[in-house]
Amino acid sequence: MNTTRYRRHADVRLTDVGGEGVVLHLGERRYFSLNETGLTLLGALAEPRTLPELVASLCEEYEVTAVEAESTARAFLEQCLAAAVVVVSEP
Amino acid sequence: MSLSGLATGAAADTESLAAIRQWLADGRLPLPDDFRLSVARVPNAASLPPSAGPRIYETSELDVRASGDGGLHIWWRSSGAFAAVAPDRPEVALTLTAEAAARGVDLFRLFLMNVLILTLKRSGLYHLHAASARDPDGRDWLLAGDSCCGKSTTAAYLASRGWGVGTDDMTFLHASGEVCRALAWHGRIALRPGGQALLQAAGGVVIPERGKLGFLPEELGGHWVQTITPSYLLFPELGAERTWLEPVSAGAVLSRIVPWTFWVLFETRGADEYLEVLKRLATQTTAYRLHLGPDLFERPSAFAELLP
Repeated sequence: MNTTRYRRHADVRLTDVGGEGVVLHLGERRYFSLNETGLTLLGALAEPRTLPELVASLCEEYEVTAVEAESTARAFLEQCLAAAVVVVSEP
Repeated sequence: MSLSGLATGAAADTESLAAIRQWLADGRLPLPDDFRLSVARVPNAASLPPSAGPRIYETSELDVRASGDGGLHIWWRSSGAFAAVAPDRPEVALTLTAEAAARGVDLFRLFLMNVLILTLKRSGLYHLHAASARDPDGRDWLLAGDSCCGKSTTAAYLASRGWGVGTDDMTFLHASGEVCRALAWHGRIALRPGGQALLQAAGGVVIPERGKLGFLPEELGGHWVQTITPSYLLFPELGAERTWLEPVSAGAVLSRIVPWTFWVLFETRGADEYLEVLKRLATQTTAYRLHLGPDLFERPSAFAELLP
């Protein structure tokens, strides 16, 4: 997971107000709500990112340890991959 | 706006066109100047285009698919009708079978309203399943939710308290400058027997296809209001012991409101623009969950006492 690059699915749209947001997956016709951390991660995934890069973005944004950030980012990625909100970016 | 009974490759259907013209006039929705609608008649469903293209969504009645040019193709499954919606302008070509044309009110309720919603999206009018109202102080309200959440009963209640009411469920959001406005499709507030009893409402018109009784706002003591600029957004819910308001954050509004408009969203074209409209609505309104209890109808002042 550390060297694999991930990105948002092309059919995903998101918007937010006040640190909460909603994600639409147009292709799957599903929607999800997002908290502030999820918005940060999915925002970063507009471009292909590795797990360590996502961890770094959380550490920059919030006062968390690298261990906490990795746990959060890993769980978020797994959920997003399962829902096809995030896909593995082809090189 | 242009309505035409002519279409290439099929016979004109002037009779259906007249009925559609009257339906649109009754709805009192300000249609865009470039709105175009044509109607053609074919003998049977075999004469309609076969279902094809990537599916946008489907219901038991409708099959909605992307056409190759960025528009939509919509089939009414149960009665044989077809609509071709243009990609980037509010223009639709209808083809009706004799069976569909004979379905009367169902043609409008089950097929044409959905076609209209997806056509008007092309000009920035986005459907939201919500009631609209204006209080006696001139503040504007939206009440969003499904058909069993108490939205219509609350709209009727507000009309009975002298409020303006635009609609009990057919609202079209529209970005106007920096604000989001809501336009109402004019129709009767449809009450189930339970709602009629709570309001002690007399009169009304039977809506047999919905099993409800319909009231105009003015028949309940209110008045009709077409366009509002919502300052408050309510999400009604039934089943509370007493009526109360629970604040909802602006961010949570987004995920709460999507279910009541989501089928307009799941077409790639226009999705970003519509999300921006929803964001404006979430930003400009103060939102609450409205927990509805029986005291709303027992004490005439109950709702007024809750208002901010």
